[in-house]
Amino acid sequence: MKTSINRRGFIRNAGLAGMAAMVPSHILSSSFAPLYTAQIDPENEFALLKLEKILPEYDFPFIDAYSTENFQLKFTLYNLYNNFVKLAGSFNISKQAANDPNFHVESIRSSSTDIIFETDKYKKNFKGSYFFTGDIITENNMLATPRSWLCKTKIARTLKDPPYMNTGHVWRGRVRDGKISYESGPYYQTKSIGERELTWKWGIINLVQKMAEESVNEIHFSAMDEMDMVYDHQYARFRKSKTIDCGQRKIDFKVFDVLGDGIIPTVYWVDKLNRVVFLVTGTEAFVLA
Amino acid sequence: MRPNILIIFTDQQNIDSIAAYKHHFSHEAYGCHWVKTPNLDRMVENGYSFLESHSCNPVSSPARSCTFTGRYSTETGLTYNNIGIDKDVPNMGQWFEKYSDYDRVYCGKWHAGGKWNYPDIDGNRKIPGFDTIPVSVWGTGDFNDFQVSGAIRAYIQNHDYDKPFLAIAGLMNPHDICYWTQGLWGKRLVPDQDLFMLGDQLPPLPPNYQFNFEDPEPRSQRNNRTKMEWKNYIYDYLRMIEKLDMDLGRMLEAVDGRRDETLVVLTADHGEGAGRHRREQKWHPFEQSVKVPLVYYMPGKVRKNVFDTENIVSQIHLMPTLCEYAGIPTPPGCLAGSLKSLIETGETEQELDTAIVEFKHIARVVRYQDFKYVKYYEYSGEQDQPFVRRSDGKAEKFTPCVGKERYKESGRMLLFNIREDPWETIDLSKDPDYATKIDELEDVLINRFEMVVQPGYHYDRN
Repeated sequence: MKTSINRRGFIRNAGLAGMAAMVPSHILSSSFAPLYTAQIDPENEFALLKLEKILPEYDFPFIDAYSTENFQLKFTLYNLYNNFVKLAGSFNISKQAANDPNFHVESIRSSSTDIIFETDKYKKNFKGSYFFTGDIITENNMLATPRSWLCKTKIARTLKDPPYMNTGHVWRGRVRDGKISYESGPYYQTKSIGERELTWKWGIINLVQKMAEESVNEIHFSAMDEMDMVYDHQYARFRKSKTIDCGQRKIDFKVFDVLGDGIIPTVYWVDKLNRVVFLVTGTEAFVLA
Repeated sequence: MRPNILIIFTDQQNIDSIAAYKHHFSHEAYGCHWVKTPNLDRMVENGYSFLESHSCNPVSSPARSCTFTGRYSTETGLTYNNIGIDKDVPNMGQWFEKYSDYDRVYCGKWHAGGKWNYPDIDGNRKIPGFDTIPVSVWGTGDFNDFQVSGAIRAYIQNHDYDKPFLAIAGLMNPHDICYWTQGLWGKRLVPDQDLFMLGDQLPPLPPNYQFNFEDPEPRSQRNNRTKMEWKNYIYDYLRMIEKLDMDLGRMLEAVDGRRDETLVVLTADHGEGAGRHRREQKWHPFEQSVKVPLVYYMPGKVRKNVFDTENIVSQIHLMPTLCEYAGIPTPPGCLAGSLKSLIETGETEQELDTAIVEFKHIARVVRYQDFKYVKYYEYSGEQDQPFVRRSDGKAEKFTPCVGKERYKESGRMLLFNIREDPWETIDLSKDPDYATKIDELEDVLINRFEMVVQPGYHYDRN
């Protein structure tokens, strides 16, 4: 099995064994000592407990300058449960804000290493992933309220390969007159945007960066999940500033909680450049690559 | 005209976790008062809800084997997790493959066959009878469920109209709550602190929080958890319900966009302790563990906005119901009948007054009319896993039951009047006034459902 990471940071042809081979041994070790526990302020740093197997050897991505108007972030995605930390995919988001802000999102979540057989209908040794790509044009506001978007998902071997078994899906959306319209082939639907101003699940990365930059303490919103379903009554709230050891260096962070309907409590860690470095939620962690 | 069929199968969902059930589950401690589920609500308001719906065996693999075969777990052989279904007991996919031209697809958590939990392991026995869409390597709803719902949505939207489909979406959530202590926000250093400053957003503790009857299965007891931990636990659990609501909505919208008819069924493998009787997860015979949502939805055919509190049903009713919709025979051995007539007309000739719940080798539960009787047995095999010999953590060799000695009565029992005491706080089993009632329920168990107490069955998984 050959495992590689392409120039966009996407994991390709990585089955279970391949994925495991990419993870440093200290992450996979169940006996790894929790180095950070003794240093963590129990009131405020509990989110770091979830990263304790990642942080000690984390290669912090230092850069000289960063703009919340034009950025590109590449995250490594980990799945966390029962004391396991598993490399599980990648997530990239970029923003260009020349006129109307324009976001591009690419997400790969590792899928099965193999698929069913027994008849010729099945493909053996399917090594695919769940691919999501989205281009989202937004309002020029802190929430990056979506105006229109084009999204694609599929389960396939690689991003270039055709979708497996009717799983390809392309949809366009638009916000107009307080409604979301959603179009996919012959399907056309409209739905309410909710009671509050709208953002979107990954637009919250942009939001907390802007909150850090402009020293905003709390903001309430509705959010779109996967650019289709809407959940109301969510909010982002500044928790505190904190300096932590990160890859043997001390790094200053602003910490934000994101809470509300339809969302497992999530903690964002934003560095002094106003760049999201860690995103920790229920059973997932996004770590800036 | 045979409809398409979509089964949305959730994991560990409480029956009271749907906001539209507030008027039925009126106590403020029920989950429905603390959760927003617009998509589940839409399905409920346009469908037929069974509010006396039971898991046949409140743990994942056995419950799934019952749901997808229409047989009790002592018949399927899945009396515990990670055992395969007996090869002579056809699952839904195999049965539909044999008798119909339905396209059959499964996506997500299966956990009802062979050594695998998920369809990602090499081998030639994965999910017999189904095409399988490959997701679910890592085993959490956070990671998987939007993939499952996205893939099933695409499958439904792209499926031709020339023949019907049977699609099953195996969602993981709200099972992620099982990882709360170590993987979610239970891994905290200050147990009594409201770490996310949620304040009055935190739900109240259930009224039976302090009640904990002695039970030989201690796995789900959490006696040392603080009130704040329980409140946070329940809060996070309900957010998982809201996440699965979005997944359900995604698939429901795809169904609603088709020009043909699709019967949609929402149900779950088992419930969740949610702090009741100081319990989490499943593994116990109380209502929060054994009750599961069951909603049928097909606008124009299935009656809408029905909240059935009278008819007592369980997972073994699903298979015969779907067979009738597909116009194919019910597999031999299925004890339950179809619910089609009931959900379409409100009429049925069946006497739906009993549910049997198997509980490993430890207990059997009889829900008969208003009462629930729990009969305990002594451990008679290996602790915890009497039916499976394990090597390297994987089910390797199955040891068939050898008869009644594995079901030696312990003399322990519980009796509740569920209609009058829905939180199960008063055990009536020691009250002499209810001796006749216990005899009546014992008779139901022994004489009407002998197969669940006397397997005597040789399972063959080759």
